[in-house]
Amino acid sequence: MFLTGLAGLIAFNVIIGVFGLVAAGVGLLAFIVTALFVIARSSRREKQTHG
Amino acid sequence: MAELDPALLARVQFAFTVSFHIIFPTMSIGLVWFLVMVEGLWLKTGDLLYQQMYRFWLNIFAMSFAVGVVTGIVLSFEFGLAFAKFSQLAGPVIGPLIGLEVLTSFFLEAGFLGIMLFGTGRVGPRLHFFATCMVAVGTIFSASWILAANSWMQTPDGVAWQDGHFVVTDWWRVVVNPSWTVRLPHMLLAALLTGAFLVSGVSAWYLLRARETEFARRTLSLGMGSACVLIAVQVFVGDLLYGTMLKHQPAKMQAAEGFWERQSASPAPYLWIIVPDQAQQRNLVQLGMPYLGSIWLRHSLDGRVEGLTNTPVDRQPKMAPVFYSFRTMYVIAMAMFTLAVISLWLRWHGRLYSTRWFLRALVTMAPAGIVATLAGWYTAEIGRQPYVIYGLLRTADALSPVPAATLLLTLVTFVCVYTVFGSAFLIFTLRLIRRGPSGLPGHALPAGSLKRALRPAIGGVREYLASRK
Amino acid sequence: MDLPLLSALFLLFALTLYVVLDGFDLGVGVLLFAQRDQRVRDRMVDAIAPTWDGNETWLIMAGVTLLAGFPLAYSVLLPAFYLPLVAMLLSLGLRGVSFEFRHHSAHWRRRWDAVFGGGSLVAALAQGAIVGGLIQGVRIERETFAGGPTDVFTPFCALTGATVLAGYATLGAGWLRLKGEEATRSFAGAQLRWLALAFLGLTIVTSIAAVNVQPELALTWGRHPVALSLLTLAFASCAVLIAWAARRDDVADGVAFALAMAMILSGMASLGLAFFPNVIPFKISLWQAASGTASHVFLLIGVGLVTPVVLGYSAFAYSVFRGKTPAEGWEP
Repeated sequence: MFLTGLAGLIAFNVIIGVFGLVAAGVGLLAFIVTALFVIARSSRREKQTHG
Repeated sequence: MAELDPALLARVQFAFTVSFHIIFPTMSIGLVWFLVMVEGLWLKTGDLLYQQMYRFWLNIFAMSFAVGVVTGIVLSFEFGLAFAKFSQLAGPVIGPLIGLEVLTSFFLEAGFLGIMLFGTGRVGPRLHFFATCMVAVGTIFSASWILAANSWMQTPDGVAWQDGHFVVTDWWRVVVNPSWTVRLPHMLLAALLTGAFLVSGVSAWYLLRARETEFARRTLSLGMGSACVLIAVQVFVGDLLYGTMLKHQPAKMQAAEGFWERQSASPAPYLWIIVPDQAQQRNLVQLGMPYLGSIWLRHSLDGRVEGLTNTPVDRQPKMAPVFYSFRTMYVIAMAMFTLAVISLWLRWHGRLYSTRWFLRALVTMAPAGIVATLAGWYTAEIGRQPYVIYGLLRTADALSPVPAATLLLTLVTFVCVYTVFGSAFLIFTLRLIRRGPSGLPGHALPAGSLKRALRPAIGGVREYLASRK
Repeated sequence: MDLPLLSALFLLFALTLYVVLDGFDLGVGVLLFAQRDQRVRDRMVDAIAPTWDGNETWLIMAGVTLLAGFPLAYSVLLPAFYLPLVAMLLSLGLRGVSFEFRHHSAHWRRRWDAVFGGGSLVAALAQGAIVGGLIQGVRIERETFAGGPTDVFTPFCALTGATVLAGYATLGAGWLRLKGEEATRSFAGAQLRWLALAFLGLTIVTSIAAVNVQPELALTWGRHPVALSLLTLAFASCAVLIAWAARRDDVADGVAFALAMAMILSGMASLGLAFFPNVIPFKISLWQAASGTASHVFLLIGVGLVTPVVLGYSAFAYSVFRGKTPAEGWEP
């Protein structure tokens, strides 16, 4: 899972490097949407387990 | 008797006071918007944990804000003390901008901070939330105006030079100059990230000690959740700013990348360690990762990067500080991004609050935003040299008619007094954190002064010390 | 009436607000040295606690107005008063920090009180020295300050420093008389009597010395004989009235404070008359030092829109804490 972070980092830098700002922007947007989804899911789970 | 250089002393003095100062508004902006989020959630859900979070972080925010104000007053006079010539020439441009900062931001913050700190028993919860929002909005205005002033110094526009004076020809172009529109979001995001990692780091510290668990989990979740979104946007904005500065201040970015040659080798490496020799215009030592320079900086597999010799020697900034500040900021940004990604993975697997090595990493990264912000500012300010207003006024021509010995005396005095401020802030904040949110006294104290925000904490410390006897 | 004059009036306004509002704060701080009883010292600090830090924003406003509207004056006067300004800025900062930390423990409180008082003292002396420096005049060559950093360390500036200190202390004592409970109130009354007369005496000596140090001042008397005579009369009679009313119980508590404020305001008015139309006194007029029209316009629009709001809030803050400071302080 540490590798996930590193992989994401490398991927991001490659995208921004090779394909430039627009592609990186799209990638980052996707990342943000994913983040929001994950956070929402985890907070629903929290409510279930902790009440 | 060694020759003291007044130019160097003036720069060191200003650099010291402004560096110390910027730490505190950066924290304040991050914390106050966190407070807005938390108080909003409290109003919406009625969950008392949010109220506890609000009151705990409010104490630290208030202290940070107070030190920011005190050190900020110094700066508004220091333009004249250290750089009188600059003040005389640039006063007509940056003076009104800072004047509007005082009017629209400082007074606004001062006005509502009293209610925010002590109004809980006196005004209803909605008005109190409004007060919190007003202070937060005030911090945005503040950043906005001061960045307009500094951005004008970086990429000046909207003025004409008449009879040895700057005359403003177009205020819109003075404020909305080529770099302001990108530097403002960049700084705001930096401040918000500082707050996010600060609260996350403190929460992680509690979780490692199995203390204040509910408080810490919730704060960590909010902190790292925000950080995920913020760092993504920040990296994008950062890259946008890079392109802007490449266009308007090429010398700065040339110094930042560490190459000297007009055109670097192809393919260019991405340099990580250099020992530059400014006099000889070359690197004595140079270590980097192959190919990545071309890929990241030129978006191609064989592109060449422009070196600092593209700029005439008398217009070059010092490469070493610019290079290393820039790398520091960049590395911290990447570390933040990595931790954000990891935090998402851990969330997905329900292990966000229990993975000890991750929590330890967060504790280490608690001050990361501050370090990155300082590094970014050093890149910006040292990279602008030898100019104080880029392309228009050199720093060496902008000084005050004050002898070097006097500058040295006051520099030493500033360092001593600011050490007192800084130590007091640290000692007090660490005590508050060690005591934790459960140790908060019953309710807010009724007094309208900004800096009396410390009173609840002081009262609590006294109680705590008394209970320990 | 033109734009530079408007900006100059706003500068004077901001400066006056600062002097009056922070004057009594600094005065109370200095008076801490005269009070042995820790509990009364606590009450004294509580009396200025709720309202003291918004005041410093007016100092910034004044400084920035000078920078924006009269950059030549800013760039000459700030290096000219380099050391007193640094001393003032740092002592105001130390005062701010010590104010909070004096509550940290009973053991350390005396030391923090000393820092608080010392910070107030140095700030007051520094501001007075700067007034003296303005009267003395600064050396200018080709639009740049041409003197040295020690120009302001003259006996005359020490005198003006002491005068301003006495003025702030009088104002501070007046505030304590208004806001204090019994012990504070009678302490303040005892100080008021001699402070008001000391302030008067020092001002008389300073005025005589000033005419010697700055011959141009004599011309001012010639230009505004009536106004200055009235101001002098008002100043002196206020001092005498304060001394008379200081310990009397049949005079309202707020009278001394109002009279002390009148003294400060008439002093500032006199200085204003003496300096007008110069922003670098006796040398450079406000029009000569003014920045271009665009700068004044930008600033004054902001000022016009926002100042009423700021004043409204400040008045509100003071009204929330009207009346006597509670004897048990602000803690529940």
